[in-house]
Amino acid sequence: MMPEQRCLSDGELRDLIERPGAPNAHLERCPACRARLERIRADAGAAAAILTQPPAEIDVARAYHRWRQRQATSSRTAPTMKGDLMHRFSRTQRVGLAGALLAAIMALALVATPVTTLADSFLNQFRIQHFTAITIPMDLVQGLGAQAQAMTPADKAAMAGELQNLGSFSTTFNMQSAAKAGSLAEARQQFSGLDVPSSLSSFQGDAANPSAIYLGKAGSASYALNVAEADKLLQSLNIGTQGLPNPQTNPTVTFKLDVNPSAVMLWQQNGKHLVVGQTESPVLNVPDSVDMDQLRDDLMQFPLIPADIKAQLNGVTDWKNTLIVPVPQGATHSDVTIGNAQGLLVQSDQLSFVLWQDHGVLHVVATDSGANVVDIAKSLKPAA
Amino acid sequence: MATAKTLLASSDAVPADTRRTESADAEETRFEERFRRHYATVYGVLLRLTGNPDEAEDLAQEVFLRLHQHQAELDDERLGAWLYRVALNTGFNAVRSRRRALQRLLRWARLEPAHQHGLPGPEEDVVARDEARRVRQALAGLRQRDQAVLVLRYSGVSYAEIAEATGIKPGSVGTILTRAERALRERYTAVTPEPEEESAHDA
Repeated sequence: MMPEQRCLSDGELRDLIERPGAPNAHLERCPACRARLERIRADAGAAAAILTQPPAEIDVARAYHRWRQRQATSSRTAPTMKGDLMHRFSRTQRVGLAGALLAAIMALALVATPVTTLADSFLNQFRIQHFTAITIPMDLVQGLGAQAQAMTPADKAAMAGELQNLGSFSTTFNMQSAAKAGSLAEARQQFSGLDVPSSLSSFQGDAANPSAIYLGKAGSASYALNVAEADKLLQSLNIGTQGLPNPQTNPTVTFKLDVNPSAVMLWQQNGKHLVVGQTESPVLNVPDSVDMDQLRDDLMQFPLIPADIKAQLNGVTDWKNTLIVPVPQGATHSDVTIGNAQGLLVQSDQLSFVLWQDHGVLHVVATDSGANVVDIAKSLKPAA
Repeated sequence: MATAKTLLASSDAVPADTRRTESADAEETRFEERFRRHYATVYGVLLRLTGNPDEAEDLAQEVFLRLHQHQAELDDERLGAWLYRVALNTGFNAVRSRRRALQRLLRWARLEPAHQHGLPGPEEDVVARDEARRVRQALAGLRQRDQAVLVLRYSGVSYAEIAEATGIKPGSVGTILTRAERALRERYTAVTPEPEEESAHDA
């Protein structure tokens, strides 16, 4: 396809606004691009109007004179941190109490609005608030397995090398990050807010005496991505790279997952298992230089993602705070209510589990016994 | 050779203190030239970020204080991007610390959200403050990088310098700017009263 035949990207159309009168053969022929250009022009016009402050007289000479005065003052005073701090805000302090109070009230009105607070709190920090199930076709899973088995040792080594170049993984977790507690009483001492089931449904066991209790410590896992290598990889797959920063200025971006303390109780009877676990939501921290919306859009263009999975993923609205749970074809999933919280129930021949989030705490109840996990989940109560 | 000797002799003839003073004067002249060339843009960026002329001026002074400390390391070609990056960081830090302080105050005082329709003062001041609040509110709801691209562009910074100051690819500036403008417009519309209310107010 010739360049002038393809439709222009938003960025290219925005460039045309910056250079009015620049000829573009495609634009003259394409009504869709012309319509998009007009919309972008309207947005730009609105943004210009919004961001044009009331015309302020900028007196550069006066500002420079003031700077010289400050410089002269600071060179005569000892460079203590306190002195520097006081010096920095010398003018602001002169604003006066009334003005400061007025400014504080106005700013309070700003910060107290939900939209600001929400955006400020969640900007680039992703917490699990919802769950959604994505059905993975079995032929895809089997196909990937077969492909992995068919790889030659040389291909495997090359792939390992590429992955190593792509980034490095580090974690604070080690063998001491999880420990066994001797009893519920001991677990409760170390993990406040522990919920235990009062009923195990049809599972044969004593709710007050789990077979084992594991307590996980808080920790983090980080992945430092080599941006230039990631660029190369994505480009080789014909995927856009605009979501990643410029590798020259940001050679590495680090994604960090902060994991909170966790508790897992296990009941074991006649070769069957019941697991009840809880933790505060892990938080994924993404550097601001990464445009997650753009990256997601780009990755969704990956040609090997089957259309039905793509459609399911596109259907996730609050994707930044939603845990995607892959469910094999054949398993069923449904939304359930646990207390006041919405949860996800997944059931198959071998395993059933329910996940839900309540006041920031993630819970899971899973079993291979056929016991009703929803009933067990509903019976959870704070440990006495 | 004779010329070199002459030069050497003339150089030696100038007292060391005088040479130092001349060098310092040259540095100050260079700094002043840079200050005058970039001050308006740096101030514009900070004014758009903070919405407060006094605070923007204080922060701009801080930015140039840092330039004064580092100016020997900076060549003219990259100076703009360096200054705008420092201005963005300084502005975002100031806004963040102000929000944190005010949120603490809010909790401490158990104040309800202050959606006052008017604050003491002349009517035009109230209108201007409401307008400034809406702009800050709309802008603050955007991703930090989108805010950065917007305030830089509307302070007159070029695409190339925006890319260098923010660390994004030059080819992505237009796309990010487009998306940021749309988001700003939507957020601003969401926090702006319907025209009927304003016309009623005018009447």
